[in-house]
This record gives sequence, structure tokens and C-alpha cells, in this order.
Amino acid sequence: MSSEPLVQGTLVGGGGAAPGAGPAASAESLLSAKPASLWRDTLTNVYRQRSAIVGTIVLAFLVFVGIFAGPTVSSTPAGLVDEWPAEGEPAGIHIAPFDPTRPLLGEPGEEGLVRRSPPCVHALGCPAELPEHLFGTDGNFRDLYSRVVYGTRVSVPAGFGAIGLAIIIGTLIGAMAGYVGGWTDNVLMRFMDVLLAFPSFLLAIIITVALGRSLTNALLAVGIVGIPVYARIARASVLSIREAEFVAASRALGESGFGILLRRVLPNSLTPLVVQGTLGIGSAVLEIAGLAFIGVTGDITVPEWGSMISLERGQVFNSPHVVLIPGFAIILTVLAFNLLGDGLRDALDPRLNR
Amino acid sequence: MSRYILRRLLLSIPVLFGIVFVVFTTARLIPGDPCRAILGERATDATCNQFIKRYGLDKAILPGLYREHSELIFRGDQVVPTLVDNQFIAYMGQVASGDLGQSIKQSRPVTTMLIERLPTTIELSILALLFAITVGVPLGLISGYRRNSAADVSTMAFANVGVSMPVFVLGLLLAYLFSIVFKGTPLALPPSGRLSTGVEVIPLVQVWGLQSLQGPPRAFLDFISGIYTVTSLITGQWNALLDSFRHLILPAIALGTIPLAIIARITRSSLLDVLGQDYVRTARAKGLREQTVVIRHAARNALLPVVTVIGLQLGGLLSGAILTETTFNLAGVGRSIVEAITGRDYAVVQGFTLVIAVAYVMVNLLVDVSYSYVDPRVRMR
Repeated sequence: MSSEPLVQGTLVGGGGAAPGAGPAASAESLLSAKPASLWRDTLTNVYRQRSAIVGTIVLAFLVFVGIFAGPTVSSTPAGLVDEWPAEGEPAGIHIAPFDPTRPLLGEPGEEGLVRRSPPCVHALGCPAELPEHLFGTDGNFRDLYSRVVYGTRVSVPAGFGAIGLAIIIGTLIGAMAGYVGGWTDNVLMRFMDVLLAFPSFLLAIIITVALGRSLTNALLAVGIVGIPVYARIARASVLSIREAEFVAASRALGESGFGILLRRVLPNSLTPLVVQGTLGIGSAVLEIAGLAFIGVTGDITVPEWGSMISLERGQVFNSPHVVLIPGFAIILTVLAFNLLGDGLRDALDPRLNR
Repeated sequence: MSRYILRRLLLSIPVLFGIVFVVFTTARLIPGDPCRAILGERATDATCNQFIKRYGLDKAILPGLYREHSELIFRGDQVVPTLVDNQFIAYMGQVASGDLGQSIKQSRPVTTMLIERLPTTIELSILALLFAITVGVPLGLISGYRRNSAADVSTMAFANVGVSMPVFVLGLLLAYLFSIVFKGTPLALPPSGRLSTGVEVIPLVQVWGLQSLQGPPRAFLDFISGIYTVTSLITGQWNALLDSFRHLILPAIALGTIPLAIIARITRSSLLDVLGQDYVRTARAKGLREQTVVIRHAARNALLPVVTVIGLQLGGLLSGAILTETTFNLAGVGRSIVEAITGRDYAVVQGFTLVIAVAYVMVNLLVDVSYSYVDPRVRMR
């Protein structure tokens, strides 16, 4: 919750920190060199960071798993699925072998199935008479592997959604406060202070319950409590960029106040927002899982990692896999976002380059 | 200095007012009929009307805003008559006189509940923070000093995983490890509750024979008695001390791991910063022992940003405490608030959140003030 921008005007003037493009480079080499591109330079810098590479690979894996998890599932209480492909039917790529919401007790091929059966893979020495389940089953005879796979579809987009919301609204508030200044600034930022002077998770619980217990509202709540952080960053960047000469030039050319804010000031204050946002998605995934864990996200048939743990937490002593496997899925996801965020920060913040 | 503190205290009043307002309105926006949430679905209309009158829930929430059963209704013509006569103003008056109201569900004063529940959370948070500092700072120093060594790489890998771990997953993992895997070994630890069955901590008033004591002094002693480790330590109840401490270890580790990881990372990068500075080279050049250079000269300055981060973590501890208390079945403030929110026990939600917000604001002030003691260059104005 830093009140300072993580990066101050790194990309001012659109030059970035292009290696070898310092003032010492001769005019000739500049003429023959490819024109520096903001995005290419940034990318080159970012992927010099080991943590950014690891983070991206894991994230790509999670996105892949999420996209190809399987057909769309409607989470009715009976576990009915819109169109779960029958045995042998062509169904495209789907990673989850079973409908994540359907109890498998009494299904063909599931003889000998027990509640919370431990992971069983025939190739690894599990007796052939037992049904094969990579991560075992949960307390409702559902395939845990399919549930964890489908959970990716819930948690990753939820993290993006919550932080996207926080960044958009936070940036609007912060940019307005910083650019307009005076009375507007005071009122907006004091309100942000009120939100910050409060444990965010507690506020998120209250908001979720007030909006009505559901996963969507949990996402909204996590987004809302995240707003002040981005508002502060945006305001600080806007304050530092507002006085830059190229802004004065735009004003002299007759651009409107809003146009300057939108086209000149905001793009130049994006870097700290993106860095903080990437790190923020990790915390958002944690918070949403936490909200699900304390049981304020409603429908418990939705394969969400936090609520899967919440549902089975009493069973950790007998069947640890039903609790720990979804837990590791959360850790992997949050870790990926954090590594990418760290990499972005190290690459984009020149003060940390060592 | 005292002017600075006074100014900060005055500035925090509008913030606290804002918090009370936000919590008050949000809690009352929670959909559903408060009467039926508390008395049960089958409460008759007559009972409900009586209930609502008794707790003043028939009054306007804010000027013109009413709740009738499960619906919120805004009456434009009632705005002016209810400008003063509304639930919010009534609540503020109550708070100003030191009364946090009655829990509707438990028919007990909220302050009594706080005296019961707050010690658990305080004890847990302090122990968690101590764990985070005593392990995190040395880890960060070693890792910064031996940059890129195996110790550094593994510490940072651990820190990365540490900040990515949900408190409840770590808590359940620890509970499983220490109560099942290590069962029967000396490492076995209890996975829930505050004391084993049969063990109890005798409250201070009883030990000191002050049962007749009433009012705030009694409340204070009861409050301290709730902090089991402290009470058993000062009254020499060694068995209870050991037992309550053993119950605290796992929750404190679960709660303290994220702050630990953050503290270790900040300490490391801050030490790296300082070690590159000229005065460190000077200290080495004048022939000081490496140990003196690192500990006396570098580490002392490197720890300044760590103080700020520790202060920031205190707020996060409360969020974590909600999950830790749920995971380890501890009846602390965090779990009570969640129960109150889901049960629409307005007075408890407001009272508890107000106390937390006050604590939060005070801790932040304390951190800022302590900063000027740690770093003489910082002068408060």
C-alpha cells in the first residue's frame, strides 16, 4: 500500500530505457538504428528478468488449462451439465475428464468408488479394480482433478476482473483528483483515506454480504476495496506529469483539459499502475479465495478453490488431499502473478536496477 | 512533537467518523429482514413489529431512508423530519457516550463481548508479528549480505511462496503436519482451540481475591485475564502457560508467514542498498572488522524501511486473523465479526469494526511517531 508511485515517469517522452540509446550514441548510429518502440523496449527489459519468465510460463499454463478445461458447465444442484460429451463422443480438447459438478456415485465405470478416495492412477500402481482419479474424489463423490481444473476458470478471470475494476475506477478518481486539484482533490482523496484506514479484507466481507452473497459480488467487493491504492498511484503520477513540458505544449496547441488528461497524462502514468496491478491480481485471487473460504460467496457447487477448501476443511486430518490440492492450486496462481509483477517492477523501475 | 501528535489525532477524527458512517450504512444495506434473520423465519409479524420497535429499527436509517422488512425504501417527504431523528445520529450519540450498544443475538453489551474476544486476537497477532520479525529480519540480513548464495536464493524462493500462500491453506497444512504426521513425537502440537480440555487459566480477579471489584478496573483485569499467556505467566500457572503457548504456535506461524516473507524481502533489498553506499566503503577502508561494518553500520540504517513495513503489516494481520481464527477455531474478534455480519447483528459489527479502525489508526500514528525516534533525520512537524 505504498502511497508513492512505484515508478515515477519512467516512460516520459516515450523513450523508455532503451539500452545503448543514450546521449553518447552518435547521430549516425541513431539514424541507422530501428526507431525505439516503447512496447518492444519494455518487453525486452521485462524478459531479462528470470522471475518474469517463470511467472509468464506458469500463467500461460493456467490460462491454457482454463480455456481447455472442458465444455461450459451449468452448476445446477443436480450437477447437470449442458453438454458433457458422452464416452467416445468427439468433444474437442478438454482437460477435465468429468463434469466437475456431478457426483459420480453409481455411475458406470465407477464401481468401488468411495467418498474422498485418495488419488488413484493405474499406471502408478493403484489397483486396477478401483476407478482412476488423478487427484481422488471429494466428499460428494466428485472428481477432484476436474474440479481443480475448472477452478482455474473461476479464479484467474476473477483476479483479473477485480483488479481491472479497481484500476479503471481508481485511475479515474486519482487522475481527476490530481488533474483538477483543489476542492475535488481533497474530497476524493479523503474518502480514499477512509477506505485505506480499514482492513481491506473486513471491508470486502461487509460489501460482499451487503451486495448479496455470490462470487460476482465477492469480485466486485475485492475490486472496490482495491480502488484507493490505484487512485493514489494515479494521482501521484498525474501530479508529476502534469507539469511536464509536453503537457504544456499540448495545452498551447489548444487541446482540451480532458483530452490532455486522456491522451497525454494517463498513458504516461500507466507503468506504475500496471506493475502494481499485476502484483494486485495475486492478492485479489487470495482475497477472493479467502471470501469463499469463510463462506460468503454463495453457491458452493461452483468449483472455486477457496470454497472447495472451506467445504472440506474438517476432513484435513483424514483426507488431506481434498484440502491441500486446491490449496496448492491457489498458491501456484498467486505465485505466478507475483513473480510476473516482481519482474515487471524490476524491469520498469530504474531505481531498482542493480 | 506533541503538536504533531495532537494534529494527527485531530485529523484522524474525520477518518474515524467516515469509517463509522461507511460501516453503519453498508451493514444496513445487507439485504433481508433483520428480524427474521435473528428470530428465525417463522417469527410472526406481530413479534417482528415489536422486535423492530424495541431496537429502534423502525426509525429512518439515514434521513428519509427506511427499511421495511426486507426492502429499503426512500421517502422524499420524510427527509427533513428525520434529519436528526434517525438511527445514525442516535448511534453516534451512543458511541460518544462510550456505549457500543447491545448484541441483538446474544442480548449482551458489545463491550462485554469485546473484553472477551479482543485478547485472543491481540495475543495471536502479537505472537505472529514477533515470529515474523525475529525470523524475517535475520533471514533478510543474511540473504542480503550473501547475495546470490544458496542461502539467499532459497530464502527468496521461500519468501515468494510465503507471500503467495493463503493463510487458511498454510494453517490447515500445519494442522495436518503437526497433529497427524508428527503424532506421538515431541513435535506434535494441538491444531485448534486455545487450551486443552481440563486445563484452565484462573482469571486475575480470582487469583488476587478481587471478585468484588466492579467497573472499568474489573473490565481491565478481565481483559488481561483473556490474554492467557500473560495471565498465566504473571500468576505462575506454568502448566496453563505451556498449554496456551503450545496452542498458539501453529496459528501464529500461519498468520505470521506472509509478514515474515515481506519483512525478509524488504530487509534484504534495504541492506543491499546500504551496503553500496560510500560510508560503508569508508568504514571498511578504515579497517573496521567486517562484523562491525555490517551489524553496527549497515544493518542499523538498513532496518529503517523495515520499521515502516512492520507498521503496515499490523493492518494486514487483522485481515489474516479473520481467516486464522476460522481455521483454528479461535473465538477472537475476526471470527466474531464474520459471524455478526452474516447474522446481521448490527451493533456487534459496528462496535467491533469501530474498535478495529481506532486501533488501526492509532497503530499507524504510533509507527509514524516511532519513526522519528529510530531515524533522527526525520523530524515531525
